[in-house]
Amino acid sequence: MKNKIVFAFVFVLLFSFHSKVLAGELCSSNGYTILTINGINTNKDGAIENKDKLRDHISQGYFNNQPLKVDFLYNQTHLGGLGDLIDTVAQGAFDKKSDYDLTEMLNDASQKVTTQKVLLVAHSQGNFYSNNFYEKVASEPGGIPEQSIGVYGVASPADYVAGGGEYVTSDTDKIINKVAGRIFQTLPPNIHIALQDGDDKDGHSFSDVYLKYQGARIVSDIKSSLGKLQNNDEQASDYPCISPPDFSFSHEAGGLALNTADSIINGTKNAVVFVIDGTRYIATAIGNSFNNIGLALGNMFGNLSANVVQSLPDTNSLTTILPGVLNNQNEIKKDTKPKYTIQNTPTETVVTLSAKNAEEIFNNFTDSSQPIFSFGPVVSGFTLKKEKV
Amino acid sequence: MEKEKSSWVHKILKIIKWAFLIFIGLFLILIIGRIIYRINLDKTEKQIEKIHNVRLTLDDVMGKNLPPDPGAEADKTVQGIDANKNGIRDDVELAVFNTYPDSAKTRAVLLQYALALQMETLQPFVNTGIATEVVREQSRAFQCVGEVLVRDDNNTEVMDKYFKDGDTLRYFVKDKQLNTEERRNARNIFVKEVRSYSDLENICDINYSSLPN
Repeated sequence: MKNKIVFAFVFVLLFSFHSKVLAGELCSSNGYTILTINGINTNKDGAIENKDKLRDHISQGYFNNQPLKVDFLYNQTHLGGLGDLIDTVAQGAFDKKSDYDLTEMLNDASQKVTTQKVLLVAHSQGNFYSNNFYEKVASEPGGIPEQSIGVYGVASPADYVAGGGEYVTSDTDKIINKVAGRIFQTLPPNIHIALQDGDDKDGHSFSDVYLKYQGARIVSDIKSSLGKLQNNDEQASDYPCISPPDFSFSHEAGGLALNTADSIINGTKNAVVFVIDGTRYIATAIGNSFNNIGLALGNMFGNLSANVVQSLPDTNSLTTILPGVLNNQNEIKKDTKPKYTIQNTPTETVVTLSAKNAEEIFNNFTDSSQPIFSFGPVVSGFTLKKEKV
Repeated sequence: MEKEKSSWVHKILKIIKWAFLIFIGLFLILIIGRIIYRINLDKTEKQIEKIHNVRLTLDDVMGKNLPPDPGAEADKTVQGIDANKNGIRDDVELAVFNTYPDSAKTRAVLLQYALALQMETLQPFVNTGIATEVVREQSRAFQCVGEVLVRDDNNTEVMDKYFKDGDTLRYFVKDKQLNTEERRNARNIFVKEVRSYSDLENICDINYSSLPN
C-alpha cells in the first residue's frame, strides 16, 4: 500500500510540472521593430554601438506615432574572423542559405520581436544573413507576412536586397568594391563618400563612415522602408511574431565546436567554460528528452480512457502482412472501396486488386518506388492481377 | 510450464522495476538541478533589480562630494578607485568636472554614461541576464547624451552637428573609462554575455531641463 502511494505521488509529481503560461500581447500591430545585423569581424561591443547609434540617428523611440524599438541580432565572429570569411564566400559565391549563426539569429528574433512590422538593417556580411532571414521568415508558416517585413542594406556584398528593399553602398568602400566585388557579384555602388584623414581606411565602417557621412540619407531610407510596412491580419496577438527555430542536436554540437574553437583561437581561457556549457547543453537535451517522455506518458495516461478505441490499429492502414499471418486466402481492405485478394500458394503469392479505379491504382502501385504494402519473403514468385469492378 | 511462466513474469517485473528506479533517480537529479537553477535565478533577479535601481543624483552632478585625485592608483585595477562611493570612477568623474565645469547639463549626461559603464566592473557575478541588463543601462545612458544636444530631423546641417557632438561627448567618457588594455579586455569579455535586448524608457536619470546651465 505504501509503495502504491509513493508510486502515485511520483507520477503526480512527474506530470504536474507542465502548466500553461497565460500570455499577454506577444505580437502587437502597434509599433515597429528595427533589427540590426552586423558584418564580419565586428565584436559585440561594436554591434551594440552600431545599434545605439542607429537608434540615436533615427528617432526618439517613435515612428508614425507608434513605438519604435531598435534591437540587434548578433552575427558572431568565429575562428578569429576566418570563419566569417569562409561563411561570406559560401554565402556570396555558393549561395549558402543557412548556418549556425542564422539559426541563433532566428531564435533571438523569436524572443525579441513583439511587433508585426519588422525591418532588418544589415551591414556588410549581415546582408547575406538578412536576405536569408527574410527567406526563412517572410510569408512562411510561423513567420511574418511579406507586407510586414522589410530589409535595408548598408555596404552590401550581396547581389540583391530581399523583398525589393533599398540599399546604400559607397564607391569608396574598398571591402565591397575591391574585395567582395572581385569574388562574387555585388550590388553596384550608389553613393560617393569622400573619406577624410582619420576615417576607416577601407571606407567600410557602419558607424564611422556610413552613418557619419550618410546618416541623413540612411535615416531617410530607413524611414521610407518603415513607411512601406503594413499590419496584417495573419499574426495573432497572443502568439509570438516569429516562431522559434527547431534546435537540432547537430546545431548544439556545432555551437559547442565553434565556441570552443573560438576560445582557443582568441587565446582566452574560456574553452573549459564552453565545454562545461556544452555538457550543460547535452544534459539539457537529455533532460528535455525525459521531459518529452514524461509529457508523452502524461498525455497517454491522460487520454487513454478517451482514446483507447482510436488508439487501436486501423485495419484500413494496415500495410505489412507477415507471411505467417497469411492463410490461403485473406481479404484486406486498403480503402473502403478497393479490395485486395491475396492467394498464397507454396510457390507463388497472387494479389488480385478489385476496384473501380483498379487501372489507376495498379499503375500507381507498379510505378511507385514506395509500395502500397510490403510482404515478408515470398518463396518463389509474386503476381499482381487487376480486376475492374 | 506454470513455473517457467511465473519466472518470466518475475524477470519482466524486475526489469520494469529497475527501469522505473533509474528513471526516478534521473528525475530526482533533474529536480535538484532545477532547484539550484532557481536559486541562481533568484540571485540574478535580485542583482538585476539593484542594477536598475542605480541612479545618478543631483549632488553628483553639482559636485557636492567630489573625490580627491586618485593619482597612479587609478589604473592599477580594472575597477579603479571610487573614494566617494557614488559608483563613478574617480578619475573619470574628475575629468568630466575639469572639462565641463560650466555645464551641469553636459555633466549630468556624461556622469550617467560613466556610471553605467562602470557598473559592469562592479557586478559580484556575471551571467547573460546581468550583462544584458547592465548594457541596457549603458544604452539608456548613451541615448541620454543626445538629449542635451540641439536636434532638428528636418535640417541636415543641424543633424550633422548633432551626430558629431554626440560622438565627441560619448567617446570622451568611453575612452577615459576604457583607458587600459585590461579594461578593454574586461569589457570585451563582459559584453560577450550580452544577448539582444530592447531599450529602456525614461532615458535620463536627471531632469536636465531643471539645471541652470
